[in-house]
Amino acid sequence: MRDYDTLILANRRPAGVDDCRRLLLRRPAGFTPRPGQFIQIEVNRAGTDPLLRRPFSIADLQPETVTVIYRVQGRGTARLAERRRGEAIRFLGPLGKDYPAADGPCLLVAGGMGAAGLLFLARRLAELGRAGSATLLLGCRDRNGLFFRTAFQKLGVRTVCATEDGSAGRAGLVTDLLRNELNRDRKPVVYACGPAAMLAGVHEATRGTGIRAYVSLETVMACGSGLCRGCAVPTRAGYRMACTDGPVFAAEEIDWKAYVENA
Amino acid sequence: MSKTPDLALRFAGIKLRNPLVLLSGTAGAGREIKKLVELGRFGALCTKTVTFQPRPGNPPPRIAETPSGLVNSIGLENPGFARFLEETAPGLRSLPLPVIASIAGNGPELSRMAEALTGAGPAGLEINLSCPNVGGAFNPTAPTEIERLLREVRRATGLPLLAKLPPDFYRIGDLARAAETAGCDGLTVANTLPAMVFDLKLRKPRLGGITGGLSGPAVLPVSLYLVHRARQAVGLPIIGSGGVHDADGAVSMLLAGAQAIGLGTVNFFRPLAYREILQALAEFRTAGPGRRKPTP
Repeated sequence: MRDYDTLILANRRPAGVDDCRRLLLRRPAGFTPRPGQFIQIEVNRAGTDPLLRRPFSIADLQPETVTVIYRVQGRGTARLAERRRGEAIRFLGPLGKDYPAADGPCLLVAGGMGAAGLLFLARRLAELGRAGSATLLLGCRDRNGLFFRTAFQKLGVRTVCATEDGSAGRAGLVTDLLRNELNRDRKPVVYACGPAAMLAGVHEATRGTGIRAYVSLETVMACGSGLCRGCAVPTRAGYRMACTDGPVFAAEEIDWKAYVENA
Repeated sequence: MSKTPDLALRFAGIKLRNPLVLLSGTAGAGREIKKLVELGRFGALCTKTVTFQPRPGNPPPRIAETPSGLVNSIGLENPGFARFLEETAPGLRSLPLPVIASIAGNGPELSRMAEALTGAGPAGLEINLSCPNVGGAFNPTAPTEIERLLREVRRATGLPLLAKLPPDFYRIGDLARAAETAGCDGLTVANTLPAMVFDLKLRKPRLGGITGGLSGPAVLPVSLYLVHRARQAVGLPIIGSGGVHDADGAVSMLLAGAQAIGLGTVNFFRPLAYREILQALAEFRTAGPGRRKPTP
């Protein structure tokens, strides 16, 4: 973990998607995050409103660049969306625990922007020659949310999509796709990232099956480094911190009722 | 070029290399934050408050951002005193700065903890009298109660003793005098301001604990006022605490009458701010009034 001062190389909307941005940062020397870890990006260089940094997963890592894909949905991301190419920007990282490695087929389950963090995991699997045994299940509100699909396909990952309005892929939820997939004759390891209710659904679908499921949780966060104790996640063993004990947890660790209520 | 002025000071009997103090609840017990900042460039560190019994903390959400501010409702989450004494206290001496242990509780608990910590690692004790997220015996508010409590702790330890006072605008002078009369060696002025935030879509409080404490740049003018009033009341050294995040805020804190400058919420959003602050303090000591360049 370090506070890096780097440069914005690009901060543009992906083609056809109005409320998202792809932020490309110059990768600082020595910055070697693993899939599942996150960074705290300073959205405000000099001012104090918005005050806090915002946590983002890493969508891609190249020798010279770091990619973050985010949705503009609050004051922090709105400010970040105003930042321009060539500006200096700080981020703290890498933070938190990564997705535990596993042998065998991998099932990546993404709800909306949750696909961003799983893209980095897919890249790592591709580097290990395992993309062919990985499947992405992607669920979105409508077809605009499916822009991630091609990125996974390019890596050689099989993709199956669902939209809530039925405008593309199967009509329904990503957890419906998951149940279908689990009915097939194999025991994958599940890596999931997305909204609270969806992750609870992933736990529902996998519990008691002997299938290992890992979920990446999103919470309000202040420091990102364990100092403030602000990002409490209710687990079966009491509160744990999303920033240092997570953001990746085994699905069975979480107290899902409390987590969904508070999300 | 002139020599860099020495910023060292004695504060409440503790030798500080400079006036910057990492505030309780924003720096852990040093283990985590030392990966992030150079601890050897700070004057002291106050550990996260520990209570006699473990506390799980408040339900989430525990954090809400407000304009230039942060409202927290952590609820003094901590593993309890036995674990602090066994696992944390012994390592404090090996950190490259004096560590002040922050404790909260009722009179008998505070005395037991203070006695046990004497000689066990910390260079001093800070009695947290004012966490807004816990109630009852933890939060005396009347000067007489505070004086009685601090007298009891004073009898239990010879360590330098600081009182972290609540941000009571109307009685801050009385509270400071009560701490002085009880035999405290210094003050931390003050703590987060009791606060609330609402989620307008859900029409309910945004914090799991309903209410919380406001910190961050938004509270700086209030902290300066409190420090100024406490300074008028007593001669004790003061850690000015609340909202300092840059050079101007740090210098303002000295002008208000503080000897030391607390850095708290800034550790969450601009952890390396201490570098420019130290530079500004050096310039402040060198230059007379009216000669310091304003920060851009």
